[in-house]
Amino acid sequence: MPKDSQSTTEEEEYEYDPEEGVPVPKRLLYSDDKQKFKPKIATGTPCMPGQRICIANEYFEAGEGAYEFGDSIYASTLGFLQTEEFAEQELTVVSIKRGDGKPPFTAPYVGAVVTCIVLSRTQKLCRCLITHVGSIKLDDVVKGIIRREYIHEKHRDLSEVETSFGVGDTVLARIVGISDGDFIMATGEDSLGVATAISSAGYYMVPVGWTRMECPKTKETLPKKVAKIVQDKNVEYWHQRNLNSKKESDAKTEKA
Amino acid sequence: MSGDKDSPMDVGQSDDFERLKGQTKSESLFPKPPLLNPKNNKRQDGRGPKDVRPIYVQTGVRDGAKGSSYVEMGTTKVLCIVSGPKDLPKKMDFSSTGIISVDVQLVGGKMSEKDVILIKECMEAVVILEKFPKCLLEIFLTIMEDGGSSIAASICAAGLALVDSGVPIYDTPVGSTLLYDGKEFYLDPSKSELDSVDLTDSEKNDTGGGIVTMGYLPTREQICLFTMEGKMDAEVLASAMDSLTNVNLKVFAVIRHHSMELMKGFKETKPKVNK
Repeated sequence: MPKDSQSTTEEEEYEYDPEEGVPVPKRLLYSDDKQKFKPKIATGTPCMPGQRICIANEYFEAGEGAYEFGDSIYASTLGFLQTEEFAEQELTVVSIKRGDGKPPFTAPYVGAVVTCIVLSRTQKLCRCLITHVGSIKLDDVVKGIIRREYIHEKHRDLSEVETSFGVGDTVLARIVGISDGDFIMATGEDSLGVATAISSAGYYMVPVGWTRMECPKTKETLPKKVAKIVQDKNVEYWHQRNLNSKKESDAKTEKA
Repeated sequence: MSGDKDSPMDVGQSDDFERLKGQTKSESLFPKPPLLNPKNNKRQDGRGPKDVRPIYVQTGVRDGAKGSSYVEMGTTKVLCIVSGPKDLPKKMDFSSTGIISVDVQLVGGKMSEKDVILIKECMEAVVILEKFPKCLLEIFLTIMEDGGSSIAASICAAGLALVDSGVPIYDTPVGSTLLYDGKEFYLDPSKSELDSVDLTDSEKNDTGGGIVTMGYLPTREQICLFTMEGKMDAEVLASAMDSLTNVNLKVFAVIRHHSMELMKGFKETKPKVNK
């Protein structure tokens, strides 16, 4: 994008978007292409919190362990500098990572995918405990709620808490907001919902459809809002189940 | 009731008992030494007025804690433990940003409420609170021995513990204290020096005098804490802040050296980072 616009006059600070007719600030032009993608400090250098890393513009973005202030990017934790380049978007993400085994700082935030355990449920909502943010375990569990309207993306009024979650289920959800007391979570997306559940007989239940889960021993089924994720331990059970159902149907046709 | 309230001996009838303070320390038994020894022009503990006591810092002193540090400034010994973001207790008011709680324990005494609030507000200015909404970060400070300038040592210890814990902070905070007796600055004063200066007395003599504590963010060049007791001219205060800044940079050099040593340990365990 900036290479093409280099031919135009560089004195213009704004270029006009023809469709909207609104002046759009022009991207800064750099004669030195190397400056765009690499900060002056080499990757792997140790950084203290508060150390200035590079200039903050549309080519550089602060990632994990860094923050933007004014027109610069500073380090916010102790660690080594690491950069990640996205050539298509002309973006370099600058992040600071610790070299030791300590997990990075995590706290639930709006927009994060979290793992939670259902504590209790009422007609309107169910209360959960958030245990993981992404793949990192939290030191201390945090409370959250899933409202009835946020369980499904479509037919919001028809969804019910009782036919979606059971007490003790492990649920994947996305945080969509903060209310007075708790984090509000939604399970509207396909990949979100119940990940594991334990049947009344005490076995891990296996999903056998988009809205059902089955106990492998007692064959009891319960309605759930199932997360569409493939777990390796379930694949063999599905295979067996398909074979059994085929045999049954074959037997039926033979009888007929 | 009676007309002669001014007579201090009339204990039974006067309302304010506070005016009758018994002497806790006999001045003849505990004489106040002069700040500068007139023989060799040095302080009572053998250093010059611009010298700072030796500093020792250590991190990771407590296993299982998110971050911990130990700071020694002369005889002042401070232990700090940071415990990670927790869910807000129900009693606390809701806030969309993070909340910091500071708990200070002074061995053999109690730190004044005013000083605890000062340290708390300093930490609120240092930690990036937007990174953990609706969560609580707890900082536990234990002053194991108060040998003067304990607020400054607490700030250094808290800052180092935050660096160790990996909580996102704007900058590494450092602090230092200064004593002014009307003539000269005494950097990093000890407990006996702070006790020997009577601020009310200097005000009577009109020479001025005071204790200044400053918390500083070295790379951002910002002041995160400032407190002063006593009476000083504006010009004197400006020069005091300059010398405090210099001391803060010296203290930061120690902390920086220690954290760089800490980072060397990281590299050995995981050579992947070198790429």
